[in-house]
This record gives sequence, structure tokens and C-alpha cells, in this order.
Amino acid sequence: MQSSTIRKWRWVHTWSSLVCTVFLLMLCITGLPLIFHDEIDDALNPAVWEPAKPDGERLDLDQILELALANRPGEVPIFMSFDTDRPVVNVTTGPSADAPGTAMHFASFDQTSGDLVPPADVGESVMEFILQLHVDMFLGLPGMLFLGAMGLLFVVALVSGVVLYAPFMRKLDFGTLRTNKSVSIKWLDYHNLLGVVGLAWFLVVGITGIINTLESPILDAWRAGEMRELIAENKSAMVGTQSASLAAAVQDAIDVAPDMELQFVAFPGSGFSTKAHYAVFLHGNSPLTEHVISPVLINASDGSVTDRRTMPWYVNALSLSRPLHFGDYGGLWLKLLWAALDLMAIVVLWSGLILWWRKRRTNPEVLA
Amino acid sequence: MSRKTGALTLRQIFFFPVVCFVFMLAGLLGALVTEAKLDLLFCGLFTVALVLMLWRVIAVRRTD
Repeated sequence: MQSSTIRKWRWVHTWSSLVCTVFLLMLCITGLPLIFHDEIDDALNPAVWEPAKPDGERLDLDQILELALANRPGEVPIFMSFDTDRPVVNVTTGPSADAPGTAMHFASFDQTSGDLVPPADVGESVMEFILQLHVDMFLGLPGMLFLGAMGLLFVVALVSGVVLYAPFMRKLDFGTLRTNKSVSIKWLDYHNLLGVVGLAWFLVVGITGIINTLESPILDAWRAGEMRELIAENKSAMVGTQSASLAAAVQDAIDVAPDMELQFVAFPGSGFSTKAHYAVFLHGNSPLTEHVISPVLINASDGSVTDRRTMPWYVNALSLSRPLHFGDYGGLWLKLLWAALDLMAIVVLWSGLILWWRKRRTNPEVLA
Repeated sequence: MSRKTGALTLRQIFFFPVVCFVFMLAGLLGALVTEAKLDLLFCGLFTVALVLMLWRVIAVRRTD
């Protein structure tokens, strides 16, 4: 590679990484506790809750819905979801089905008794703060898109780093750490070694992070495309009272897709359904298809199955990118590895910053 | 290695990085498609990349 070409790549690498480094350091530091959010939640909220009748018969979804609405007079149901490890049904209600998130109320019910389940929220505000900082820096969509742009710069820095790796390593064996040389050379060796070893993980977490920042535009695109199409095709359905049984609607949806499992229900008028249908969202039952969701529309007036759709590829990409980004799809060992690689990323970012700073100090005219 | 300059070839430079990349990616995606069932196996694949790195660091240091 010619020296002028190396200079150009070096400029790309230096500035693409410098611009995003501070934000990536923040993402790596806040990402560390988020990897262990389940363990932290469990430690702060020891499992003291037990269902009232562990072996008793479970209430059906209509009974739970009735209790939820009695608990919040004047409100309407928006979503219903289900805990996977205990007989608990979660109902989100609000003043109207299209109410904003801030006006929604979330309550959990014991499916064996109908009693309210106390929220396990010790430490929740801290984790919520960390999550919000990590996701959008409390700036909503602009914050998310900004972090997505930083993710893009990170990927550019990784690619340019790989291009520069060859000329820097042409006389060094893999694994060489010149710790007895100058501070800059020592940090350069750490930077190159840890950067190239963790490359696959950095790329995957970076790219899935970018996809995650596009969550709102992706869901908006689905609503504007597929959802609008669904509504147009089912315009004939009368917007009436929700007289059809919810339990029967959910069972019908499961019967239509026996190879799938129930994920959540969106009530008529909510952001994930039409004004006349229950949208029952199902997900695959194998590890590979678990993140692939499919909505079944059930007419809320007469309970008839109206339509079943698969989600478009871009929504499936979003569903798959979440676990790959947070590393919470395996057991504790995977999380520990995720944490180790996160720390590696911090060292790579920090060493890059040190290298730039030292070079700038020794030669102020050369900024890159 | 080039006889003239003593420089490593691209193949030599990228051999270990590519091995690390392949093992890490296999671990990442393998764990995703099998989830917790074969978690340890794929964590093992993942760890190969890190162990390889440590082994080379120690080996190079010994040679020096």
C-alpha cells in the first residue's frame, strides 16, 4: 500500500473514531449493567411473590380483562402480554387506545386468582435511567438517530482499522506487545491486538445497534405500509363493540398458526391493530424462529379470523438485532463473555484516544 | 515472509485475526440459533478467539 493511501485511510480512521469515541464510551459503560439487567433485577427484588393457587385452575383472558378494567374505571385496554416463567398476565390500559406512552397504565394480574401482582421495581429507576441514556440520551427519536449515526462512524472506524492493520503489522508477529518501548507503542500494540481480536463482536454489536436505533422509523414504515394495507383490505369490518370473547380470539389465532406461540395482544385502535380487530401477535417456537413474529387479526365484534400476516424482513431484522446487541439470549456464560468484550471495547476506544492525544502533543501540526 | 524486507505477507498478517473472527462469529450466531440449549458449546467457540490471543501473546513474549 502506498504511503499516500495509508495517510488517507489513517485520516478516515482517526476522525471517524474520534467523533464517536465519547458516545461509544458512554454506550459501553452503560451497556455493561444492561447485559446483567435480569440478574440485577433478581438481586434487588428477591422472588417473594407466589401465585395464590399454584396448582389451581387459571382464569381465562376475558376474566382478567374484566378485572383490569374494573381496576381502572373509565379506561380502555391497549395491550395484553404474558410472563413466560409465571402465571401472570400484564394489561396496559389508557384513556383511549391511541393514548401516548406517558398516559398508559401497566398492571400485572395473578392468573390463578385475579389478584394484582405487586411490581418488582426496586432499583427500576436506576436501570431505567441507564437504559434511557443508552438508547436515546433522553432526547427521544433525534437522540436515537444521532447514536445510530455514531454507530455508523464506529463501523467506518472498524473497517478503516482493518485496512490499516496490515501496514502496521507487517513486521510484527500476531500477539506482539512491545511493553518495554514508549507509551505510544505499547498502547498501539494493545489497540491493534484487542481491536482485531474483538472485530467480529464489535461489528455485530455495532451494526445491530444501528438497526436498533431505527426502531421507530421501522415500526412507522410497517404501520404506513403493511398495516395500512391490512386496514384497507378489512375496511368492511364494522367498528363496533368489542363483544367477541378475547380468550376465544386468542385460541382461534393459535389454531391458525399451531407452530407458533402467543406473544401479546393489541386491542382495537392501538398502534399495532386496526380499529375493528384484536391483533394477536404470535412468535415462532424454535430458537431460530422465536424472534420472528406474525400478527393474526380477529374481528372484535364477531370473533372471526380475518387475516394472518408475516412481518416484513425489516421488522424481523429489528427483532433479531435486539438479542444480538444485548447478548441476553443465552445463559450467564454468554453474558460474562459479552461483558469481557465490552471491557475490551473500552480499552480499544481509550487506547485510540491516548494515541491521538500523544501524537497531537508531540506534533501539534499533525492532527491525524 | 519477504526475503528482501523481512516483512510478513498479508496471509501471515491476517491468519490469526481471521481465525479469531470466524470462531467469534460462529459462537455469536451459533448461540443465537440454539439459545440456551448449547450455550456452553458456543461460548467455548467464542472463548477460542480470546484464548488464541492470550496464547500468542505469551508465545511471542517467550520468543523475545
